[in-house]
Parts: sequence; C-alpha cells; structure tokens
Amino acid sequence: MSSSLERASPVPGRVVWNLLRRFTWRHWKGQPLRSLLLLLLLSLGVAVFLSIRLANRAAVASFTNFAGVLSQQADATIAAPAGLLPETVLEELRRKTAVRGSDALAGLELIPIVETVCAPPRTGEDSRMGTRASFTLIGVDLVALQNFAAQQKFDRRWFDQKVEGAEKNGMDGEQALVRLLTRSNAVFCSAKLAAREGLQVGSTLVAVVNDQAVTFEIAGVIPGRADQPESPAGLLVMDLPALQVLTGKVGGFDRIECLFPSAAREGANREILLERLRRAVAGVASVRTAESRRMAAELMTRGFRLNLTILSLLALLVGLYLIFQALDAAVVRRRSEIAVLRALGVRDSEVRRAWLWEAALLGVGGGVLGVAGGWALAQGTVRAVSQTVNSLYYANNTEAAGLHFGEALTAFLLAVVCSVLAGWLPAKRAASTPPAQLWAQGGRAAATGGESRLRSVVGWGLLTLSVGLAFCPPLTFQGGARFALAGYFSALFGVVGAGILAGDSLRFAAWLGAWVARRSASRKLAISHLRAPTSRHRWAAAGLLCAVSMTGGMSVLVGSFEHSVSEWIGHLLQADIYLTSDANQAATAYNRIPASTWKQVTGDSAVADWDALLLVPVEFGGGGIRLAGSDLGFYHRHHQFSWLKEPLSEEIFEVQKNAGRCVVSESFAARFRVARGESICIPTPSGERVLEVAGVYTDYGDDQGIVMVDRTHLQEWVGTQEVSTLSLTLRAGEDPEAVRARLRNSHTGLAVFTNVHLRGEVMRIFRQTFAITYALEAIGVGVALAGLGMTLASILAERRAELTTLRALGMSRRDIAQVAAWEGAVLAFCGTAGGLVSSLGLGALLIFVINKQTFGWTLQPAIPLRALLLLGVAVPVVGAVVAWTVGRFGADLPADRTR
Amino acid sequence: MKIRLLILSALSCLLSTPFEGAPLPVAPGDFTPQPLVEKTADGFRVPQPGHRFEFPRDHGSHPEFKVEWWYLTGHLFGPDKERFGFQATFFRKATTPASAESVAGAKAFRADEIFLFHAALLEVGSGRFIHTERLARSGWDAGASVEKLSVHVGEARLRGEESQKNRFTLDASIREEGGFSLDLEALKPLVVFGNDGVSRKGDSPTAASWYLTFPRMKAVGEVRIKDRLVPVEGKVWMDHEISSSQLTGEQAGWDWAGIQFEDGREIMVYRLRRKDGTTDPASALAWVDADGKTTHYGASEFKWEASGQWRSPVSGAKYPLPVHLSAPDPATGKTVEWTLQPLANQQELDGAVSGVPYWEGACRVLSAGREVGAAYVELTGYAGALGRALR
Repeated sequence: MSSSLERASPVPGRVVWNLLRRFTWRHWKGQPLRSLLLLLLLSLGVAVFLSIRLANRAAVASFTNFAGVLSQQADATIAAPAGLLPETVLEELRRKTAVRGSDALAGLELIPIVETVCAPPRTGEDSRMGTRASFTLIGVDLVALQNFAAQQKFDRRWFDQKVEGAEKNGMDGEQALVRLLTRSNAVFCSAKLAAREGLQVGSTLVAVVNDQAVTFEIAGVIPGRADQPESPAGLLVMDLPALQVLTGKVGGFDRIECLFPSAAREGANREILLERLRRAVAGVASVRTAESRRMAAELMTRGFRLNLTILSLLALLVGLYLIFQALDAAVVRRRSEIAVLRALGVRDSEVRRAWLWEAALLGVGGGVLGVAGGWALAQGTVRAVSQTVNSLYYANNTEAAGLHFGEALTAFLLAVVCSVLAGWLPAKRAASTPPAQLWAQGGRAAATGGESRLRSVVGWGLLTLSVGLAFCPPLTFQGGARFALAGYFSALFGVVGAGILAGDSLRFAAWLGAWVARRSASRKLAISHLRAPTSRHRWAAAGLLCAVSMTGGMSVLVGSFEHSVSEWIGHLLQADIYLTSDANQAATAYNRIPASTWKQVTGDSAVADWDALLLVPVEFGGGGIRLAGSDLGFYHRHHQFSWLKEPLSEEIFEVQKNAGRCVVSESFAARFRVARGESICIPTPSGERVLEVAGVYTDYGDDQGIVMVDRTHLQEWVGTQEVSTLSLTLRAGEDPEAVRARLRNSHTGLAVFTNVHLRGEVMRIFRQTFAITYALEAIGVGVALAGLGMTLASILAERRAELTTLRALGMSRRDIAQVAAWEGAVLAFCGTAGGLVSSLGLGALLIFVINKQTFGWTLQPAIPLRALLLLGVAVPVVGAVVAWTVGRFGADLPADRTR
Repeated sequence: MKIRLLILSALSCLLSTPFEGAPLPVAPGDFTPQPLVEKTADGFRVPQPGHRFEFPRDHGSHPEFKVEWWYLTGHLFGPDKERFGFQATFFRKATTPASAESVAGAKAFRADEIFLFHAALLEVGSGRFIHTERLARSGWDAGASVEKLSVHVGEARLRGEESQKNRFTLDASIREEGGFSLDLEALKPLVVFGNDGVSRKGDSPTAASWYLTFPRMKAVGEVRIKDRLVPVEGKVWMDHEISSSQLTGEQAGWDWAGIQFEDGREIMVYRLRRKDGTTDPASALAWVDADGKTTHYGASEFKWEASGQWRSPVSGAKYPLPVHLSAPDPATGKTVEWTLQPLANQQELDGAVSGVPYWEGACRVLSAGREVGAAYVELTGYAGALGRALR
C-alpha cells in the first residue's frame, strides 16, 4: 500500500482516491450490516423530509384555477372582496379593456366562473365529516370552452360526446350543443373519475349541493391533451347558467379568470394589461395575479406546512448525530492505520479530504436512497396531508404526489451537506492528531480538555441564544400571515444545545448508578464505561435527547391544544342538534341551507330554541377571512363565547343596538393587530361597513380570522335568508337521537349531529390533524433508538479484546449482553431524561411563541403526564432491549466459534 | 350565403363531392321554385319579396330570422405595395325560436342564440396565412344590435358610425399571430341581390335570403403580423345576408366568388352543387355596374370550371383551383372568360371550432393573360371532415 501511495503522492487527488479505495472502503466492506444500517437511517431521514415536502407541494398545488385545465394557469383573477361579482362586470370589462384588432395586446380571454364544493351523499349511518371526497363543481360557459379545445387540439370536444362503443349519438353537432345547453344537470367529469366509477355519457352521479341531493347526468369527459397533466379527479364541470340556478347564484359569479395574450404574459405589457383590468373593475372587485393567488393559498397553509416540514427534519437531525458518531467512531477504530499513513508521509489535508469524501459519499448514498424512499413514502403521506388541508383550509382531493425535481435535489443536497457537516469534526480530528498521540491513545476516544470546554461553551451558548430568540417577534407578510422564524431557530438551537450538553449527564448517571450497581458485576462494568464516556456515548445520548425532546415538546403542545379545544367546545357546543349541508366536507365548502328548509326545521314541534350561523368568505387586509352572522344574544344567553376581551357593554348582544358593532376571533385580532374598541372596515356584498370591535373571543376552529356580527345585519348585507349552520335546543323530554333520525330522513341533503356526536367529530378531526405528527415523531424516536444500537455495537466491537478476557474469566454471553443492556439503558435513560426536561421548555416555546405567532391562538398549558411518562419508560426499556440484543451478538466472539 | 350557411344551418348534411375538372351540368328544367312561405316549421320568419329596407336599422341584427351573417373580404396594400388579403365574418344563429327554453335568468349567457366569428389574413409576399375561429353564445361576449350595425364576438367587432350609414369600423385579431383594424367607407351604393329583394337558394319554400352587399368599399387602417404594424389601404367587399333556411337536402356544397374589376364593376357568383353531381338551377351570377345597377344571370348562362386541383395537407380536401369562369358581359353582350388565380394555395380555414373546413382565398383575376381585377373565392363541401366534425 505504501508503495502505491508514494507513487501517487505527486497527485493529491489520486492520494485521496487511493485512501478511499484501499482504506475507507475496506472498513465499510468489513462491516456491511452496520454500513448498510447507517446508510438506511440517513436515507430514512431524507425520505421522511422529502415525503412531507412532496405531500405539502401536492396539497398546495391542487386545483387553484380552472384556466389551468384549459391551457395555462390564469394570468390574473378578478373577484369581489365579498360575495358575487355581478354579471354586468363582464360587459364593462370587455368594453373598458377593448383594443383595436391590430393592437399587440388584443386577445385577452375572460373566463367567468361559478364554483361550489359538493359531495357524494352519505351512505348508511356514516356521517363523519371530511371523510367523503368532495367534488369541486365548476360552472363555466361551455360554448366558449370549445374555442380553447380547438386551439389546444384537445382529444375531444366539449359537446357531442358519445356513449362508449356507440357509433353515433343520434344527434348532429348542433342538436348536441343545444341539448347540452338546455339541460340543467349535465356535467363533465375527469377521465380519472370516469374510469374509477365506471362513468360514461348518460351515466348518473349523485352529489349534494346546498341541502339537495342532485342527480347529475354525465355529458362527457373533460377534454384534455396527452402532454398536459390530467384534470383533477374531483373536478366536475357544467354550464355556467345551469350552476348559477343550482347554487342560487343567478346573475352573478365567483370570479373571472383572465388569460393574457402571449405578448402580455410578462414585462411591461403585462403590467399595462393588469392596470387596465384594475381600472376596469375599480371599486367593484380586485385583480390578483396568478402569483399572488398562489401565494395567498400558500400563506393560508404556511404555518401548517412549516410545522410538518420542521417535524420531518427530526429524523434527519437525529440521523446527523448518527453520522457524526459513526465517523467519530471510525476515527477511533482506524487510528492505528491513520498513524501509519501519516508516518508514511500522507499529508493532513489528504487525510481530512479523504474523511470528508467518505462523509460526502455517505450523503450521496443516503440521498439517492432517500429520494427514492421519499417519493414512495409521499404517496402515503399525501393523503394524510391532503385530508388535513381539506378539514382545516380548503377542498382538496390530492391522491398522489409527483416527484418534484427541485424538492428531490434539495433533499439530496441536504443529505450530502449534512453528512459533510457531520463529518467535519471527525475529519479534523483524524487529520490533526499527531501519529504518536494516535498510537498512544490506546482503545479510548476520550475527549481532550479543550474539546470538553468547547462543548460546554457551544452547548450553553446555543441554549442562551435559544432563550433570546424566543422573545423575538414573528416575520409578517402581506395579508397578515406570520412566520415564527426566530421561534423555530430558538427550538433548533435549544434542542441542539441540550443535546451537546447531554453527554455530561452520563458522568452524573454513572456516579448515581454506582450505588445501584454495587452488587452486580455486569452493572458495575456497564457503569464503569459511562464514567468516562466516549464521544459516541455522548452523541447517542444527544440523538435520543433530541428525539425525545421534540416528541415530548409536541406532546405538550398537543396536550395543551386538546385541553383548550375541549374546554372551548364545552362552551360552544351547548345545543342538542346541529345541522349543516351534507356537502360541507371541506373547510371552504360554503353550501347553505335555504330559508324554506331551515324555517321548516326550526318550526319542528321538538325545537325549543334555535340559532343559525351564516358564513361568508371576504377579503380583508390582503387576505381571506370569514364574516359570520349569528344571533349574538343567543350566544350570550347560552354562554357560548369564551372571551379573551369581553365586551364592555351588553348592547352588542341586542340586535336593535348592535348595528355597526362586531366581535372578532383571537386569530383575527392577532393577524391584523386589532384590539377591542378599534374600528375596522369590512367589505360586504352591499358595500363596505365600518364596525367597532366590541370584544375578542377564542375560536380554535379557524386560524384565518372571523368577524362576527348579528345575523340579521349580515343577511341584509348579503341579501339572503340562507344560513350555513343551524343549532337547535330541544324541548325537555325530547330524545336528540330520535329527532336526529327524523331530520336525517326528511332532509337527505343535510348533515345532522347530536351534541355528543358533534363533540366527538370535533375531537376526531382534531386528532386526525395530528396523526401525521405522531408518525413523524415515532420515526424520529425509532431512528434515535437504532442509533443507540449502532453505538453500542460499535463500542462492543472495539472492546473485543476486553470481551475475550471477560469470557476467559467466566462471563457468559448472557452476562455480556446484560452489561450492554445496562449500558444502553442508562444511556437511553440519560437521553430520555434530558429530553423530557428540555421537552417542557420546548413545549412552552411551541405554545407561547410558535403557535401564538403562527396561528394566533392562546392555549392553556397542560402537561400530558401520561404521554410523557410513557415516553420516559418506553424509550429506556426499548433502549435496553436493543442494547441487550446488540450485546448478545457482540459477545459472539471468534474465539467462541473456533472452540 | 356560402360557407356561412353550411356552418350554421345544415349541420346534418354531409357535403362531399369529388373533384371534377369539367363544369357540372345544370340540372334539367327551368328554375321555378315553390312559393315562399311566411315562416319555417320551427317558427322563424322567411324573407319575403318587396321588403322596404331601412338603414341603419337593416344593417343591424334580425333576431326573428334564424341565420344571419356579416361577411367582409378584401385586398389591402402597404406603403411598399406589400399585399394582404383578409376575411372577417360574424355569423349569428338562433337555436330556438324564442328564448323561453334557455336557462332561466341568464341574460349574459343565452342559450338561444350563438355567434361564430372567423378571421383570416394572407401576407401575399411570404405566403403566410393565419386564421382563427371563435364560438360564443349571445350575451356578454357576443351580440348584435337590432338598431344599427354593431356586432361583436369577443374582441372582434364591426360597427357602423353613428351619423353615417355607409361608414364602418372593423377590428379583428388572430391571437398573437396578427390582426387588422380598418375604417371602411362604401364607394358604391348598397346592392340587394335577387328578384324583388329576395335571393333564392333552392326550390324549397324557405330557401331564400335577403342578400345585401356593399361590393366596393374603401379601407384604410393597419395590419399586424405578430408585432409588426403595417399601415394599409385597399378595397373591401361586404355582404350582409339574412335568412331562416336556405339549403335543401339535395345540395352538397357551393362555390362563390366576389370579383372587383379594375373598370369599377363587380361580379357576384355562386354555384350550388347538388349531390347528384349537377349544378343546382338556383345558382346565379350578377353583374354590378359602376353605378350599382345589377344584371342577373341564371345557372345555365355562366360556367364555373376548375382548371386545376390543390390538395390541402391539413384536411386532405381537394379543391378545384384555379377557377375558370365564363359569363356574358352585359356591357357588350359577349361572353368573357376569366381565371381566378389564388394568391396562395394555402388559404383553407381548418374548421377547428365549427368542424367545417373550407377554402376562402384572395385571387387575382386574369383575362387573356392580363390582370383585370381582384377576387375572393369560397369553396365549400370539399372536405370530408364536415360530417365527421359535426357528427
């Protein structure tokens, strides 16, 4: 070897390559199982991160505008700040944006849209909310769509589609068009839905719109092009006037999507056209570009997505500890060879580079495997993410996540960079220690005094920084969205700082454990190893601390959240029966109950008192909020408000006196920095209203913000008698279940809940939204425990000589396994104990800083003792079991096998 | 008439006749069509003779009739004699006699009336031919005034000036590829073709139209080819035709030409082709003299022959081009022959929206080897795709 290195020495790169090939690879090959495990753990971290990123991307990138189905994403979208756009806007727009035919900006396409969310009717007794995939039903001018189909050379026409297998549909083109335009229930579905449900021209599809189960007739499949993405599975398209009638939106529509001519897609022409549009609809509607619309959707879910992304980094963070300790252990194992190499003239920089290359190659391997695994994992996580987005934010039926090149590259580079970073210190150590010292250090990898001091300084420094960052304000964006950047860094620094200091607890544990271990040789032996812990011991404990700390911290947050929500619904849900449209399976479904229906329901002889809520989405401060109308007096009488800032006057609860007043949710107050007593100007379909904020109440069901006024006023502003939900208080002696059954039978388009059922539903959805969180935490803890096993395996391998002596002195394999188990258990205990302590700090940070800054909710802190206790017991026990297993294998010495 | 009718009314007819070099024989017998009825079976009015046209009202829309179009073709020249040919057509078709059947309350989106717009532009120098089609229901994005000439489909529009009966503006864009804006002024009086104001298109008691034409208009404006603007001047032919049912079941397609001679006269000619391979006796040719006076000739008095064939690479249709036309000249009483030579072969509109491919192109008019005028020629029913597209 030396001769080849000498020959190669004039070319430094070749020396590094030779070192990797002849030196590093030999070690990796010699322990394939451990090498593979390390690679897999790193790839798991990458995979989890990537899968969450892909799932988030898929959920956010789901259907945002209809123009995308036709040809390209809309360049601009025009919508009223509240309610519908009147049809007259279209003619005005055409007139005011008209240019001469020879103008290069000619060719502006305006696509008016009516949109609603509907859902298939319930089957049997299942009335869980959010479990049925909603359909996004789009109303668009089918005649105009034919132009796009022709331009884009779609695979079929909008009208005139035939029953599969039939040669002719019996109509000529004109008849088919007229028939389509005069049918009120003809819809086009996606090819995916048609294939999945076996739908073809003439088939029927039942879906609930408002309070009615409507039977739609399939007129065909949404045309498309083979080289374009398929239409979303949950998309249904029908003729605009027909949907206007069906949804009660006659004379208006929800938005206009604009496609610019190619000369105006960018640059100055784009701005000219945008300005023309803005001027044309000034005072009536706002114009949003595709970017701002996408940004709004992203901002809405940013907090949720960031939380998931950060949690997904847990496994990678723990994986980093593993890489660090694996490479650090390798320095120890290979120190004799390093000393020989150094003595033979290999330069420090070459050793360091070889070490860094090793780390980088590990990152490459882990990155490649992680990207593949991440994509596969994303197919599972996307449904969970999508369902949560559906429940909390907007209708979303995303079923698959594509492999996005940018995300994959990010994950891959993250793996490589993290590996190199983790390998930096071991590489430095391998390169900088003099050969004589390397030989002299024997079998131990004890830290030097300088390192120990540095570790303390860094650890405490990070903790101090963490505390400081916790007091920094969030970043704020347009539309009132906030991002707790400093809070997240505070969490990261806190966990890493605590992890760095975790090793010091091992000495304390060894000192404490000495008394416990005094009567057992194996325990004594185990404890003795921890009196002067190696860096691997430290990093194993740090990894566990990190995982347990984040898991515990999230448990504290979730526990506090659950406690707060539980108290809140205790206040809020006091009626006996609740009703809403059965089509409202997603947060943005605004199906309503017509006046005739709710009057019939509230007139039922079993009903003693009732209230109704009308919800209207409006634009405020550049973002979306909800304007709610309810009987404020009813809320007050039934103590349904949980006040953060109670109204100073009772007048807000009297409809005759509360015009011009409102109460706002805590999220609204935090998002827009509005306080009690201040005035806000809210857009409504009948113009802007200036409202005085009379009070601020808690609402954990919404993080965008709610402004609540008396229903009488809101119905007048909106010009409707419809309502969104109904709550009924029954007469004494009435059985809620019986009334519910009766109402379900008489109103098949309504979802009817009893109080008990609705509370259960709220908590089920609450837990469902955290399901993915639990899974991510479990993976993090799993990786940390696997790291513990790897650490012990590595240590046992190094102690082979010691073990052989112990066996010769009469210790059995079982005894050695016990030593390993004790060592592992104490390690795990230290990591867990440290993790639990820091989880309390992290929990407080999540509750009071990150949650507050992101969602604006005040949570009542509650420590989930049972969960933390379980974590505190389970992790050391599983750690001991893993260590025992590793010990059994580690004690299988070559000497035993040759005996 | 022409393709307009094919697109809008006879969707069930399959117009496919093989090319024949020789002129089609005229179907035997005199052309004595059945008397016109007042209304069609589906309740639309049928054009009646003796109608007193009033303008600008009669330049506008006639919603009591089923089919109507405003059809402009022309030849434009830039400052360096750069030459263009263009076509712009606004079709209106009522789908039901009344609006009661349309979806309730949707004035902005009517289902009882549909508009179709076609535009094409030929850059003669390069041979580049661009075209577009746009379908729109009557309402916010398409419509026609019943009081004056004001028709629009999307951004395309044709409008009469408030104070002038014979001045119009035309705007049409062909997506990002081009467009044109023209100010038009009639140089000759309006012509009403046919007998006593009614142009018969077949034997059927409803096959008739009011056929109003400005055979020669001065055009001044701009042409855009991508982002290049060219100031232009030229001459335009503008038809406005109103009917409720024109085609008969026996007719397979038709050929049409509007010829503007350099001597200030014009010819309008159409040959209706029957499925049995003969020329329908309702075919006609009309001369318009310099003062706007018309002289009509019947099917047997002129000949329309093909002197070649051009096969469209897009639709596969074989079009009989160039056209050889011979007809008596009322000024001399002698038969004159012309060749209508396309300025480019590729002037086929592919029917991407309507499903009806047809050829509509600018031609130079040659007589004894000398260029004597300019023409626009329309050839329909040669693409088998008509039936497929509108099945």
